[in-house]
Amino acid sequence: MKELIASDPAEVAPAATQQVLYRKWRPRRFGDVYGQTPITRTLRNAVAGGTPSHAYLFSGPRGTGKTTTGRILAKAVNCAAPMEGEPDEACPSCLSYNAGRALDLIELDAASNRGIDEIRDLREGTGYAPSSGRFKVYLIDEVHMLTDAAFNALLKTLEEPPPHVIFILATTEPHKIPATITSRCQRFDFRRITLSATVERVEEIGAGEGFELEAGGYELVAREATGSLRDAINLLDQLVAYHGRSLTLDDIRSGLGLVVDSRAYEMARAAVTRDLRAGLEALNAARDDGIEIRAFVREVVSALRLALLLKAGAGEELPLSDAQAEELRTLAAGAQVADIVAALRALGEVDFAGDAYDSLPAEIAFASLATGAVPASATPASVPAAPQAAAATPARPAPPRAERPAPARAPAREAPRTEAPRRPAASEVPAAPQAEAPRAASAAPPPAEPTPTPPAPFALPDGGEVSDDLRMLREQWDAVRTAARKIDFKAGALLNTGFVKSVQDDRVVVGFRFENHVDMVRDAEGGRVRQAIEQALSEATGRQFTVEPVHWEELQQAGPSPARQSSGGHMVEEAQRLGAVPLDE
Amino acid sequence: MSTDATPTDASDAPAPSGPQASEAPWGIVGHDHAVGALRRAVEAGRLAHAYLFTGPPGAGKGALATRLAQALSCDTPAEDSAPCLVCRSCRQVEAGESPDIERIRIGGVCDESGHPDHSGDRSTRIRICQVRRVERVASLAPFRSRRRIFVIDTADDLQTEAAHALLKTLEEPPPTVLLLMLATDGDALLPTIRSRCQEIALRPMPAPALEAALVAHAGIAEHEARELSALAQGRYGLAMRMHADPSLRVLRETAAEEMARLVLADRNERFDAAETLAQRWTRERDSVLATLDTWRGWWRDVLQVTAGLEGGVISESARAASEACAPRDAVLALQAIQRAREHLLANTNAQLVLEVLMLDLPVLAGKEARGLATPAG
Repeated sequence: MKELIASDPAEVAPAATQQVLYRKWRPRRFGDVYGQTPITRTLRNAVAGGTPSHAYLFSGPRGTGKTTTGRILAKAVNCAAPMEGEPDEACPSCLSYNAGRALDLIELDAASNRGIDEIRDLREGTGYAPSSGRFKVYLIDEVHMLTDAAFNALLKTLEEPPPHVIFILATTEPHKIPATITSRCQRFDFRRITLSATVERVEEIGAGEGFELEAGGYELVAREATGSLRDAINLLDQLVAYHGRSLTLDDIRSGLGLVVDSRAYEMARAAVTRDLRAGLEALNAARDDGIEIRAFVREVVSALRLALLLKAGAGEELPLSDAQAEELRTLAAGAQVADIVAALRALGEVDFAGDAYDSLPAEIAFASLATGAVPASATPASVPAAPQAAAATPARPAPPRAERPAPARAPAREAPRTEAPRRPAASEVPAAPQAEAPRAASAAPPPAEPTPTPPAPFALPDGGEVSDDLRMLREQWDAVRTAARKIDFKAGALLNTGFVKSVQDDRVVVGFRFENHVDMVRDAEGGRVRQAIEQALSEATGRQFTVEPVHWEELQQAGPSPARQSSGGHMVEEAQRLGAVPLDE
Repeated sequence: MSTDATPTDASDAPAPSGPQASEAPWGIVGHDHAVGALRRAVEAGRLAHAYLFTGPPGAGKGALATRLAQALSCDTPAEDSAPCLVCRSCRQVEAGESPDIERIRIGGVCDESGHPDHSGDRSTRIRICQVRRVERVASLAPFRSRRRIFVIDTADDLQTEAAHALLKTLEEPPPTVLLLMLATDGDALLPTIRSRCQEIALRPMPAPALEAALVAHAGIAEHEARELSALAQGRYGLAMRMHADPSLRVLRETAAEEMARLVLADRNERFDAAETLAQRWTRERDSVLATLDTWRGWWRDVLQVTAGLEGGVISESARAASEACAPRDAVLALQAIQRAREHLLANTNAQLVLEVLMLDLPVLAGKEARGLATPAG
């Protein structure tokens, strides 16, 4: 089995690489391990009391000090004269550890030696006494990659190793460790390192290396590292490699990719106002300047997010310069919450899989938002069927926006559009509700906002009094149907011809167009269908209802249900184009 | 997964060398910043032990790795540590014959007695046994130069087990080892891998700079350079490859003509086209994907024009089509093509996918669209 040895900076051949900072500044005493005080204190006490456990499991995210602490522990237990649990750094044993020459620390890479054979070798090795110190320490790194057989082969040894052996298992993925292993170890969970501790450490390293960072620079670096000290030190190293030893805040911001391009704001504004031309222009400009599109979209999304925060009055502490904050405030002031949410949704879901560097996915996502074009498969079944249905539900006044960038040419284009077979109903239905419906579906604004109500899916026979409950149920009917389909396919199918007729307290009367459907709902399979509908109602509305199915003839007379019109798809469309006329059943 | 984007190609398209490239440091076009950082590190002896070069295929990751290797092993380096590119070791590196430089890619030698070589066995990832070999070879002293260099080409291809197996070596390799990881996307790698490397991002070049570079370094005529730079999205290597391979261009033009025809065609004609394409899919996937890519580009042009944007290179047929449709039609077409592409890559029935695509494409009619019937080039 191969042994990996940390090399000392002094030993590195002059011609070779200088050690990167995260290796050069690897802590050598428990006291130097930042942000893990509870763990290091426990271990020091164990060393000082002479009672180290025979097996430890160190888990935690990358760069939090697992391997480092393991090495220090190995050094401390073998130190000739430990002081309060800390290695003295002067005895021959400590020196050999610092030089990476210690024979009693056996560091194994479980990820490349993950089989049962390697573990058998290891078990045989445990029988021999340590060469110089008191303990032989096996530090098994990336232990989550061991195979199941290898883990099981380790169990007996791990439970009762010879008295001179200490096992330290380290991993970033503790959930992959079998419970039988975990229960035999003392487990320490390394936490992400706090911002202040990270700042303290990188400052110390920066000062030691003679770097000069503008005030606040270390904090930026630490923030970007999200709790991993190795990431923080590595970022510092990279910044110095790019910009030299003295760094201004601007260097750091651009090096960390924190500079928000002014075009990102233009794009954000265009997404909120649905200005197709301005948005595409901003995207083109960003791409032509060689900005990575994914990063750009991320910036736009974060700008939109901050605008949302401002809009909600929660933007006290923005990590922004004054000019940027001002820009966002104007953006937020001129926009509706629902518009910002819709923009966030559209751009936050851009899927770059497959072409990570192409701007097209971003363009499609944005243009879909701006033109209100929802893919055919995602169109909700509730295409407005009859004008009165749309008129019955109060539509939210649409915010003024540029539907089309070139109004002068618009009429000329309108004509061929209505002839397109995609939208057979386009000539009767005004454009506004059509654009509104998919928008409402994609925006799904928070309940506080007045919600644009989707038109009822059926042409209702009567325009009489509707109670609040009834209106609510009719508006939610699509959701009920979707929920029912998930619970019981048959129930969902039956609901295609049914609609809420009336509501009395907790009793919902559901009207069906066909008599036999009523029977099916009432009796089929011991009332399973009815239960499914009731469950769907409670899922969609959050209230408990009982369902009473009735025959509702007028519903039938209102013509073919729109569900059929929209679900017919290409085949029906094509048949109609060829002259077919849909028949009433 | 587009045809123009295979990882092996990236390394085969190093930037131009020789006298023409004199202004570009190390002969790498468009990444002065990255080259500058590496050069300073080499001069100051502050080179890290592991670098991660990220960037799209054709951006120059492989070329940068090759140049860095040459700079480190050149017998007669220039003052600014630029490799001479003519000495024996530089030529060896260029040809991939240097004993101290090993390129790890899908299919290659490994360390297991049972299967010593993966070149012929249809591996689709870099295997753990190949990484074990890196570990073993890394501990040996270099033959000729002072350093042993491993180029992982690309880290995207590492099997999960292989990636984990690399971690320890990547963190603390022997002092004579330099690891260069190439990757399309740093975000897609294990965070534990990324955190151990110094990352150098190769960003796409600004379009005008790419155009100028194509003219200055490769001697490409200006009008072609403009077109190439629009298509290559800021990647020098990709632009050069498109320049060198005229068949790509022919394919592109045929596909654009086909789309211009299809938007006017009736359903029968469209179904015929779907069938032809579906048959092609079984034999040559890449060319079908390239066709879809061209169609996306064509509709993208339409979208740009209908949105009132000019600029860039816009094909004539797309311009004519844009007279007859609204931005919304273009968006729906783009969505349809994108969806078809995803489904094809997910192994859905090709004919079905393509027929649905044909049905989803808008049908253009009317007076304006008739301009399309007589293609204007």
